[in-house]
Amino acid sequence: MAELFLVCIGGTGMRCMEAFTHLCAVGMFDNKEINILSLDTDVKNGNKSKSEELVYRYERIKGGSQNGKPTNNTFFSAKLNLYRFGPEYSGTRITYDLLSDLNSGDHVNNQALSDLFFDKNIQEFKLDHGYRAQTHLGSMLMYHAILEGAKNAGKVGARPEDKALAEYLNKIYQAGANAKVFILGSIFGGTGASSIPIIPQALKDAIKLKDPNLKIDSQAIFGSTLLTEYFEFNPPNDPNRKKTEKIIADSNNFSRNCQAAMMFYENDPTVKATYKRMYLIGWPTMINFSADDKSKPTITGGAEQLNGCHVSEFLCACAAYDFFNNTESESTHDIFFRSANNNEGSFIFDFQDFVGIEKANELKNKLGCFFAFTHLILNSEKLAMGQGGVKSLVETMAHESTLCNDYKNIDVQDIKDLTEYIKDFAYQLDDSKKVLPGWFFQIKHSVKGTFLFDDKAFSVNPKELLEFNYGKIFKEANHHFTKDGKYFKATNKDAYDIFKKNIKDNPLLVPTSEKQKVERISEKVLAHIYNTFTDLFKIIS
Amino acid sequence: MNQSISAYVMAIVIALVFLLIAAVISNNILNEGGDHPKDKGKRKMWFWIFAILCLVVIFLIGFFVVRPGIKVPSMRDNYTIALSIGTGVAFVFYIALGFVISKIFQNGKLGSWFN
Repeated sequence: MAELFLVCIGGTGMRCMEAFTHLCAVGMFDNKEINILSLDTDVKNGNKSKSEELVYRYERIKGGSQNGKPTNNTFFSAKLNLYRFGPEYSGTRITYDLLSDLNSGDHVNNQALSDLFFDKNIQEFKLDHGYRAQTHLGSMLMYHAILEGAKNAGKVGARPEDKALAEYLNKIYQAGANAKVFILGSIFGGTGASSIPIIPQALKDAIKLKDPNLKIDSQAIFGSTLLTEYFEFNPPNDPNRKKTEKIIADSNNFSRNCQAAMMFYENDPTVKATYKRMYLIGWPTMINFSADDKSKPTITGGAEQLNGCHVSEFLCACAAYDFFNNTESESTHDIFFRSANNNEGSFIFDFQDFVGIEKANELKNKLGCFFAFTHLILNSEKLAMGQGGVKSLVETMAHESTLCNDYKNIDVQDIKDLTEYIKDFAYQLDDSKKVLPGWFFQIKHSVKGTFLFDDKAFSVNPKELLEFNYGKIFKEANHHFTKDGKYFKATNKDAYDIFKKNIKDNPLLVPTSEKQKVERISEKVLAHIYNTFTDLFKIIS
Repeated sequence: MNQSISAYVMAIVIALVFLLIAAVISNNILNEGGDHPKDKGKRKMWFWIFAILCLVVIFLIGFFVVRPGIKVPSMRDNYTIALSIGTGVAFVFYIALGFVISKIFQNGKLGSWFN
């Protein structure tokens, strides 16, 4: 059985990791354990922190990295293990010229050699916010950072990041020919574009540092996304900023960077020999991340970089899904792309556009059930208004059916984590009752036009959202489980009523540890909710 | 005597009808979620509204519809006494049967009447 490894690189890689985590949360990776390496130079990056916290929350929902186990046919079915690595760029290692110690030894020739490859500004800019689209520098630095991390892992006082990297490498080695390694990152920016070409070689060489006889099995399979530019930002308007920071990322170069990268990937024999599957993902229009307030300084890194989510990132996560689930022979190098119907500038996405025709119904059911679940919690159980939420639902389920009596013993931390996860996925209301869109709402808003479900499910009008009838979350009437009466339309109260009735009246929906492998109380609750919505929506049996 | 018996029968029948209406209304009140769901309170409220209505309607029908039809004063007086007792008995019967039903269906909507 394949052992799965994901490497998420740079700011875009972090957002792809977020999308991948949500794809696991809806249950698309049944029975699987996936090891994730998050790789970024910008350790304080807002997107990185947010995505990693999401994965940690997922891990806790599963029972922790030590005790969690994969489950089947339910939400949060995959087990995720997160390893975090980043090069150390601070203090006397913050710029290339300091890091490479040009002044030691034959400093004249050292400097001359460096000047041959890198301009002065490139040698002197601070690396702690990433490689700023300087991929010729970034590739070299990231390669050596990985090797250095692996070398230092066994030393006294090793950084936690170095130990995490070593543990990740060891797992790939142990997986042998069963290893499937997928890399998520962009090719237009800095860290992802720098790292994608060198990651497989860096991982292979890093393992040898532990023992020259060790090597990643030649049958291990590598795949990657090639995500081209989908956002832009205004060039900085402060003339002093370039003087102090030396190099500033400019989104005007993104297209050119992508062209150069794709030409390289198309022709390079090493890439073709290493990566068996590459997924070309693009978007026809650019989002401007600094469109809201042109007076604010452009943010290109650090804790303040917290860009909204985009459907391209979800497509990248689905590329990882395709790669991990592929059972065909991987003897040749293949490049994949997918297109979707477009109508007057709006994409008309269907579920098959993300996971293919064979798995479309599975995604439709799991994503639909999870989305309906979040609406039930936020809307019917009034989490959006600061009330009960998950706790309230669990108590209701325990009260409704004698088969669910043990649900009331659910761990308080699990309730808290599920509550926060639901808000991250869907939405929450701020103090002034304004809708703050979560991940899935942001994905929808990045697509002009409708997106997989009823538009009202994504409303930014709080009243409309809190009254949304999730029994009609699908556009097709044959998947509605509430029916309008002759004089009155069905409401969210009818949906909640029917949901509760099914919990009470249908013992077949109670999960079993044999079929769904659920043992913890929170997993039983989630499986029961999944079974109930699956039964109600009637997309799959 | 027959009128006295008819007072009791009428009272019990009206109590049963009102209990049935209260049950139908309670079943149509949708479940609510959150920390302070109001659905149980609404079902209780309708149960007691019909309890009071039951009491009032039984007496009004008996006193203004049936009683005027009794021509013999002594029989009319007996009927009035039976009606008064019957109204009280029907009220207690309504509540007692409602209590039993709420315990039988304590996990259902009718369980809200006394839970």
